[in-house]
Amino acid sequence: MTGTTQQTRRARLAAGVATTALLLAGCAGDVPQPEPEPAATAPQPVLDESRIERVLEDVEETLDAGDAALDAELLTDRLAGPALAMRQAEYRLAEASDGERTPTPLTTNSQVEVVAATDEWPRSLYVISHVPDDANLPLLLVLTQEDARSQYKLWFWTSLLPGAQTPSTARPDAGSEQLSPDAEGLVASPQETVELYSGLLADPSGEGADLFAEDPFRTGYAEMIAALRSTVEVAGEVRESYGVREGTVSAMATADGGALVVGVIDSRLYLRRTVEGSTLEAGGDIGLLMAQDPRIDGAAEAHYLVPVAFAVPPADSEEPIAVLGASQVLANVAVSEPPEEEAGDGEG
Amino acid sequence: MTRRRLPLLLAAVGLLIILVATIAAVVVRSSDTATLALDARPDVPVVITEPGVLDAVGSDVTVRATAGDDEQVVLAVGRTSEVEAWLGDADHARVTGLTSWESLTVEVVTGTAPTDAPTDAATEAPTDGATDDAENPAASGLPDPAGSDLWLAESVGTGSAELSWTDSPGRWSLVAATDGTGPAPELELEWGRQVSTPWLVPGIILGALALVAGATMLVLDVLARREQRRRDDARARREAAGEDEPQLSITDTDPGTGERLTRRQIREMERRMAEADRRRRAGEPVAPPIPLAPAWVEDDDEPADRSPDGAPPEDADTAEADAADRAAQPVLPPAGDRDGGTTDDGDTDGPDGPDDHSEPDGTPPPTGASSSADEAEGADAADEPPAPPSWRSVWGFGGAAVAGPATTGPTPTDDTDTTDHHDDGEEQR
Repeated sequence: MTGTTQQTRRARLAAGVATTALLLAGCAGDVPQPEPEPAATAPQPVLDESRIERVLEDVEETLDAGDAALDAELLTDRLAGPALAMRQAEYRLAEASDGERTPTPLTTNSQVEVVAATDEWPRSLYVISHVPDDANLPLLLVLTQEDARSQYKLWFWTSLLPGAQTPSTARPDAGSEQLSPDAEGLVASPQETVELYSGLLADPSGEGADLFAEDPFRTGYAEMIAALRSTVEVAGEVRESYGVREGTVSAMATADGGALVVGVIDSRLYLRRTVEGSTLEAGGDIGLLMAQDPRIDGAAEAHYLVPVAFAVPPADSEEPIAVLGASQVLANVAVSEPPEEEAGDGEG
Repeated sequence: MTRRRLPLLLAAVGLLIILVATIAAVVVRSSDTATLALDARPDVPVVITEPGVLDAVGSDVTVRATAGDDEQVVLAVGRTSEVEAWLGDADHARVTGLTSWESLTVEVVTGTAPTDAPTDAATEAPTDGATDDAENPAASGLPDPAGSDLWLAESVGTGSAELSWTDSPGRWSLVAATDGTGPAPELELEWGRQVSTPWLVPGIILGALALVAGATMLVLDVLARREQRRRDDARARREAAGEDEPQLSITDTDPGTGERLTRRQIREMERRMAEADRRRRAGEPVAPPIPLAPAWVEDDDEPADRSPDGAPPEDADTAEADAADRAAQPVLPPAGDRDGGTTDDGDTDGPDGPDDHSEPDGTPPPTGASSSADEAEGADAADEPPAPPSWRSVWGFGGAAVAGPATTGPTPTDDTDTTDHHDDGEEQR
């Protein structure tokens, strides 16, 4: 009995010593070396939820600061491209109207986020926002990161049209494919889509009219032009010109193989006094931007930026291209004589 | 002697195991962080880590960076691919791995822009950074990393910064810089190493078991010894008194039935034995030694207590009658009577048992009795493992131990031996 116990005791002591030795030995193991995961084979979403939130918050703060001071200089950290140009124009109009015209209410409070999955730059984030305060319609926002050392900046916005149904897109944690303006596999490439639509603004029954579904913006725009014509008729004429603003077409693949396409159309209205002795006076926003003298002796050119957004179905689809959103921002008014096509935008 | 030493040893070993396990765990835990640093402050504007470095030791890393008191220090973690894109071809230092448990392996990458940066940052005195910076600011050409949308985690401080990062799927790189143009800060990575103390809990449990076992054995041993001493004392007194009466002794097991008595029963018996001795010496009538077991104390309520059922004591006229009665029906209430009777019947060796038995309370006949008393005793015995010897065996109830009316008991020496022997037997069981 005692012998057994002593053996047990010895065994336990040995176990204890061994334990201690093992634990101490653990302190002096080999230095581990990095074992990196293999690089991802598929492009990853360019932003994760927390960063999206961070970026959107920062953009909204920047917008709030700029709006409060009506100073576009404050926006440059977080706004770029057409969005910055539109905001600058809105600030100018707000100042010219002594605050009667206010900038489009913007919010980055997002409903839906569409994140690009790509290894390249520029990179995009599409956001469908909630309805901003003091507005009736949600917004489609596009943020882009020009290169790795740049920040994501609000690059584009437009108001969604009433009843617009945005196509379903991949979840943010999977990421969506960013499409180039000439991407194929769609009813019309993104660039074509915007070009066709800009043509339809001039001629509602022109080329590609059957590709697009009816939309309230085009209808309203045509009415506005008609009214303008009838007003100007007695003293002069109205000419229109439309074109896709360069470098403003962007697209993101949707879940059904189609695309969300955004772009900005330059819309120019030329007002020309043709009847000698008559007076042509610009009213409304154009008049405001003409400052002291709303009278047009020769010609005036009003330059609008028209940001539009489409849901373009895949090539094999019977569906028409849906116009999701469109807005109109008066960028500039230039008085020239004679009114030629080359009149500068001068929105900078 | 060994019987006493064994529990002590057991307890000591238990304590030792607990102690060793705890100390080992504490020693290991106190060194459960690994802190690795750059050998010197780099003179390139930024230090990055290659993928896998941040989780080389553990998934949770704390990064600390220090620079001059008024310098901005930026620590950030981003996707390696994006960090590389952000770097472009700027000069930078890359942490590629771990040289030792104290230092990181650093490799300086010189961009395409002309630069006189030495290839080994570690050899360059940190103070040279300023000149370096002034000479070729364009070579660095990095924007201020603070606030970039690329960073998943970022910490910006003045003079120093600290950043905690928990690894997640993907390839991640740390970016440590000041303002993108000045030399990068000194860098230190600290991991909470996953120190396992697999022996701590088992060690404590094992030790505790040994300790408890040892303590229990020790207590039991002490109790057993106290019993032994008491018995020895009693015997010694008798012997000192020149007693030549047959010695009564108690063994803990009835050789016939294998039953064991509780300690209390033994104590009572001993008391009664002493009483009997006294009476004998005083010339009083003494009950026959054999059956006297539960009956000795006539003017004593002990029997009531001793019965598991709390039986009232019987009124006995004489010691003999008393003894006989009690032996026959050991102080149980009706149910107990029956049991006692049965027991006696079963044992048959008790001189008077069967006859006297049925008298007192008109209890059911012995034959109808169950063996519950036996069971009760057995249960008692089971509850107290080191149970003393069965009084039956002691008193000769159990079969061949005592033949005939045992007016004479075994010799004292035999008794003692027997007792010890039985004790040992108990333990071995």
